Amino acid sequence: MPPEFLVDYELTTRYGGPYHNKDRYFKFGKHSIELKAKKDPNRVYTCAFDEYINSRNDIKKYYFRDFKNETLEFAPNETSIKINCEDEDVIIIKFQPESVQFIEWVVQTYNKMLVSLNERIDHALRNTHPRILPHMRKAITESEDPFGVYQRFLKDVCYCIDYPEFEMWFYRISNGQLGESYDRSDYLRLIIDPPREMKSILDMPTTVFDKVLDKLKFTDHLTLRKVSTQFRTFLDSKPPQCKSITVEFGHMTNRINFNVKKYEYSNDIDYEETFRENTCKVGYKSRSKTIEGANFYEQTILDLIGILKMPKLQLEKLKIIVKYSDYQGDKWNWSQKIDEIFPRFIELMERNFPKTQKVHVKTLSMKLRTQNEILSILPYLTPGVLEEIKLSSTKLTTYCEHPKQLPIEMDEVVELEQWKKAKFLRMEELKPVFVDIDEFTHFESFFIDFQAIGMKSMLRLRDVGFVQANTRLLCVSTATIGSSAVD
Amino acid sequence: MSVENAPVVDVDEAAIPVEKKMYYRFESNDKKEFRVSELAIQQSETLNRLVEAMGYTSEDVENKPAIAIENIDGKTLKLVFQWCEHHKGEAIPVDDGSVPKIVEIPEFDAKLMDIDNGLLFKLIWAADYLNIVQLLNVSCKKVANMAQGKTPAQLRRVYLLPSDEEDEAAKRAAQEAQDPRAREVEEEFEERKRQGGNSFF
Repeated sequence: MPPEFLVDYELTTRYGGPYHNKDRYFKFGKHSIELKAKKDPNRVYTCAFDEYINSRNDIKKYYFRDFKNETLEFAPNETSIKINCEDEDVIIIKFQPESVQFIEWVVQTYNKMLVSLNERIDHALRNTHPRILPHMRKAITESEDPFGVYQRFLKDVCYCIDYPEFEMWFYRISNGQLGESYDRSDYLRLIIDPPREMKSILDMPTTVFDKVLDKLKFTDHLTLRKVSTQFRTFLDSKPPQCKSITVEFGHMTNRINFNVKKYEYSNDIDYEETFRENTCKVGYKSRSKTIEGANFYEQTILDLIGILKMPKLQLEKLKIIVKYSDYQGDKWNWSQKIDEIFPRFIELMERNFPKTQKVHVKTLSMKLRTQNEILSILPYLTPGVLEEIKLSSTKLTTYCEHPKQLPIEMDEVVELEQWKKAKFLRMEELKPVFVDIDEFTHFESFFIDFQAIGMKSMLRLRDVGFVQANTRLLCVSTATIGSSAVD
Repeated sequence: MSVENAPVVDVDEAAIPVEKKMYYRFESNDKKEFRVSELAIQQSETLNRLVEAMGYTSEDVENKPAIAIENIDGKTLKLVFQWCEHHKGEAIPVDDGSVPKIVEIPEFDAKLMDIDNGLLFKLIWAADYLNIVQLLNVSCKKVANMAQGKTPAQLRRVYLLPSDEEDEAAKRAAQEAQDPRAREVEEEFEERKRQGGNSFF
């Protein structure tokens, strides 16, 4: 609470004669000066700082917020305040030498307010309406006088943004109400602003806008993100509804599938290779679009990256599969194609995915053939959050003579932090080669189809406690382990 | 028999005035008056609290001036109260946190909301302000339906949004327009500084 000051002042009537009524208090607040009569404390004049005009004759004139006909003037070269009251004529306040302290106090308070304002400004601007952001930043950070800035804003910025919109942002910054959940409607309610002619959906209070978004599906959100950066910023500030993503790479078609809930609201986006070279047909429900100059694999990967980039995305499951092809004759062709997809995937991820960002995924599930395929996505997931890794081998065609177990190198994967911090592992129809058994012992449980396991490895597993009673799960392909190994 | 019964009915009415339906009077900002039943008002949390706090008796309602709703116009308020009267007595839905929310728009509501976008936005604003949960739900659903299955370009048209290029152009134009004036103000400030007039702060 700011201290109350009783200052010496003179009262002059409209006709120049003295007026003897000294029983008044002046209270200096952060944003206002209050003038209170001692005898009648209910009668308070408030002079809000933000309602001043800078007149040309060097006198700062303040308008009382509630009493528009009364003004208060500061003459800069004199230590005096002149108040023009409607009923009581003119009050001139002359400061005595000791009152200079109170001027200093006002200035100090004001400066303190400015410092804290500047401290919070960066945070505030991050959440500011992009259209007024540059004006706001420049004016408030550079000015010694934010309220002057405010006045200038009204003159200069209001023609390009709505006044209430601006008022809301100014109010928000100057009051330190800068949280992400700030509700626009609160402010509108505060100023009791009549509903304006809504120009666009962005004029709605954020709570309402949220309600509209709640009723839209995730795929509609994706379209909305493409509308404008403003929309994207707003949508990205909330966690997306999408809980699981499945990407299928096929011989002629790819598919990205979003699941909000299990077995509900499943939405697919299909990517098709067309007969013309470098064109891709993207389809969603009955809508489709042909994109020129885009390889359909690249387009799928880029779209997936676009979704994974959403800052608040929290996925339960991310599944990447290479489907098998039914074209028997294309067996080798398809195999070559797959070999091309994942190096490109890695390249595109490196180029387009921000290095500092990681994707929040709990379960990663992949059907794959080589280590490269895991490396395309695993390094981009949040270590520690990723709990489960499920890997299995992919069959290229239904007719393919598929080896029972596909040997797979794991040397680079096991070095990743994501691998080291995961809790569960399941590898089916895959045989890790050239990997020490120690790379698996950190898992709480794992399932690996070892084709053969050496005595040494088994002993090691026993030593770390996997073949003990406290083991949750250890499955080994018993067919290949001789009884002697178990001993 | 009818003569015998008549006074009994009279006495009943006088003895239990509570059973009488109470109609509150509201006034929009363009001075249009509406009479709304107590039950219908319960749909709006804001108004319900307001009338509870006022504690009007049926005489007060008639004698005192109508309750002014200063920030909603008559056209919008009419729709709001029509909706409230039609849905009076219905339970107010509670948010269960599920997404996306499944909301059905009843036929009456669909007809009521068959209005232009400007009025629809005003209706949503009023529903939000008056805290009428279900009206806000259906009206937001209607706005959401406008977006379903649209391309970004169509969405810009539906929601009257500027594209990024337009945004950029507007920003540039604003900066260009602002610069000369900003310079003017700064020059004025500099000049006054030279003249030695120090401001109060």
